[in-house]
Amino acid sequence: MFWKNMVMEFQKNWKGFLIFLIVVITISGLMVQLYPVVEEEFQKKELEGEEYVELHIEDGQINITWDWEWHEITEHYRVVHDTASHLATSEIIGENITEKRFRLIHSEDDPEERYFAVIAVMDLEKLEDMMDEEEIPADFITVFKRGEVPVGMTSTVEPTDPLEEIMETPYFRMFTAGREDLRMDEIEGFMSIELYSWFILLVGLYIGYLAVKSVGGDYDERRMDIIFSTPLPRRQYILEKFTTLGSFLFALLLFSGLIVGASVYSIGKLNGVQVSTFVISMLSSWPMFLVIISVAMLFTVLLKSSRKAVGATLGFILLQYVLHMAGHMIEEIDFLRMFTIATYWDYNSVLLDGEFIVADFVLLLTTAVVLLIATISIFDRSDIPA
Amino acid sequence: MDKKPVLKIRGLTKKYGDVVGVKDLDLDVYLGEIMGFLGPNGAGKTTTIRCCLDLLQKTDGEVKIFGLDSHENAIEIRKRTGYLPGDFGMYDDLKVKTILNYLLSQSGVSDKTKMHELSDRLELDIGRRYGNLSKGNKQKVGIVQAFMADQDLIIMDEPTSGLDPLMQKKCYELFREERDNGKTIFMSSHILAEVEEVCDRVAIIRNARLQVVEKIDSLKDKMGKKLEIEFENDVDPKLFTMEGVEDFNLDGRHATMIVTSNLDEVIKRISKQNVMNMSFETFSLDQLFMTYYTSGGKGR
Repeated sequence: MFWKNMVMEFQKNWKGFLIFLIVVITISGLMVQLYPVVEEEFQKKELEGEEYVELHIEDGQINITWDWEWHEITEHYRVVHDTASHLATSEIIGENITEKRFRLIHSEDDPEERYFAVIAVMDLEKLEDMMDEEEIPADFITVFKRGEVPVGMTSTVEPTDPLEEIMETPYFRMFTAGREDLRMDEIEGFMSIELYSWFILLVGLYIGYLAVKSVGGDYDERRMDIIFSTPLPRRQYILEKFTTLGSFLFALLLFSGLIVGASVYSIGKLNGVQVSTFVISMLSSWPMFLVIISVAMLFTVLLKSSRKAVGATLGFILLQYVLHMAGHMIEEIDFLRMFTIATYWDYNSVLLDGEFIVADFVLLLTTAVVLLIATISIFDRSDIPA
Repeated sequence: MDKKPVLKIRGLTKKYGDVVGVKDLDLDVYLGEIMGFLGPNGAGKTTTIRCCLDLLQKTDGEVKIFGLDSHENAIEIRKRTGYLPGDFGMYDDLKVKTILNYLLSQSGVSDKTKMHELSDRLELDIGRRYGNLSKGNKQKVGIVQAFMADQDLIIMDEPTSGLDPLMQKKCYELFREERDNGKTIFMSSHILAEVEEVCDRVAIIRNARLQVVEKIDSLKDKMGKKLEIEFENDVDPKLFTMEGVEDFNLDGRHATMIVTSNLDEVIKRISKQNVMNMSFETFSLDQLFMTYYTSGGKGR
């Protein structure tokens, strides 16, 4: 009967299955719990103190003016500026005035992207005098005593989030899978980058290892002869191993999806996203991992050794991952992604668009079945080493 | 004994690349007999057995068990065949009972009576984890699983390896009982005394080729005596050129020969000479097997 080997597989491996299930759902749940901690950092911000600094472009010049309440105890101002938001390359020492002009390099209609920050350099002697007269709040004194106090920032362009700048780099496209509408300050985008983008490694490496050991362990431990002294057809043996791992995997993905959904709900960030979205996005990876199981079993029956098959399988998974990620980063090799299984698990379609791509699912499932048939065919006709 | 072959091998050849495991092997194992399969290490015993059970794919030849093709009908054959591999492992973390129940259920047998009987008889504690058992106890697990499904043919590769002499005796009794109950047993062995004690017939394989297949009793008849004689005078070697005398060798007045038959005539001819000294030695089965192992298949 079909289920006997499955029962034996679960009896043999239940501890490993349970530990891995706990690890994966814990990581999935914890990732969600990180979101509120960093959410604020991901939110798009105003430039600090931009209400105190004004910028006008006219007559080919950029005119910066500022308003600073503590002007009388300010010795002078410094205006730093740069073409990027980190303001690292240029520094202008201003007079004791509240205006500074800069030459506009581009046109007034399309000015260059430049950032400006005004810093008040305090007159510490006057500060001491005013402190004696108790005209300055105690909290301010501590800050003023440092000598330099930021007044505010302004820019020729709408301020952008530093994270957005990073995400637009080729490096970060690896993690966004090329989706420009993906935002880290939204829970779907956050989970896409922080969990889904490396989920193939988290689950794939372990499930690949399990699949190799499932068959290879019987080679290594010399159990094959005993197993096949019973009237167990070889194809059934492979099928039962595959079904065992496939059903464990399905449960793992289902629980992970539920945990992610429940975790998002627990922090109150569902914001209209259904729990089922997370479940479906997880379950849509099922055939991709079935392909990994089939590949692992194929390597095992070909190489007839766990050690060699583990190396080949892990190499396959890592190569797939690197090609997939590098394809997003380097346009010239983007075509290679079509040969990677991760390309056909488009979790962003489910998370961001609410669209489950059936064609990809069927393609991966078909690949897994074809590889499984090849595995059975080879195993059916091969010698079992003594 | 019924002359119906349960296991019939014709022209079996198995090659591992350029290496020949078994070459042109013909062998019949008949219903209700214990057939011993002897040979030195690497002779091809395990290869033959594993080809019979479809664990190895034949390069050439035909193996039929119960009249069924060993490859095409492997599942049907295994329903009726118990097998003890020479080198095997099981699930170290599981209890022996769990493993045996699993194997029994795979064979489609629900009656566990024989499993318990065999365990008791071989003093095997099936409540222990397999990984915690000694080598001898692991071998007992193998023997129990080979016989517990009460199948018609039992194939064993060195079945008593690792067992103490007392347990070996118990196993021999078990094998004979099973045979007496109509089972057919085909077993390889290194232990000549085991073959002599248990087997009805023996097949000897050497360098991948079958050397001889004989009844144990016939082999004993063929064993012959080794005669060593010191004559007082020169003798004519032709005197001992006769049926039943083999390997005659004369060195001066010192003669050696093997007498397999016609002993009475040999003694009469010797008595016509002046004999200074004479020794008379009977071959043991061990010596006989050794000659097959070492002489390239011609026996003595």
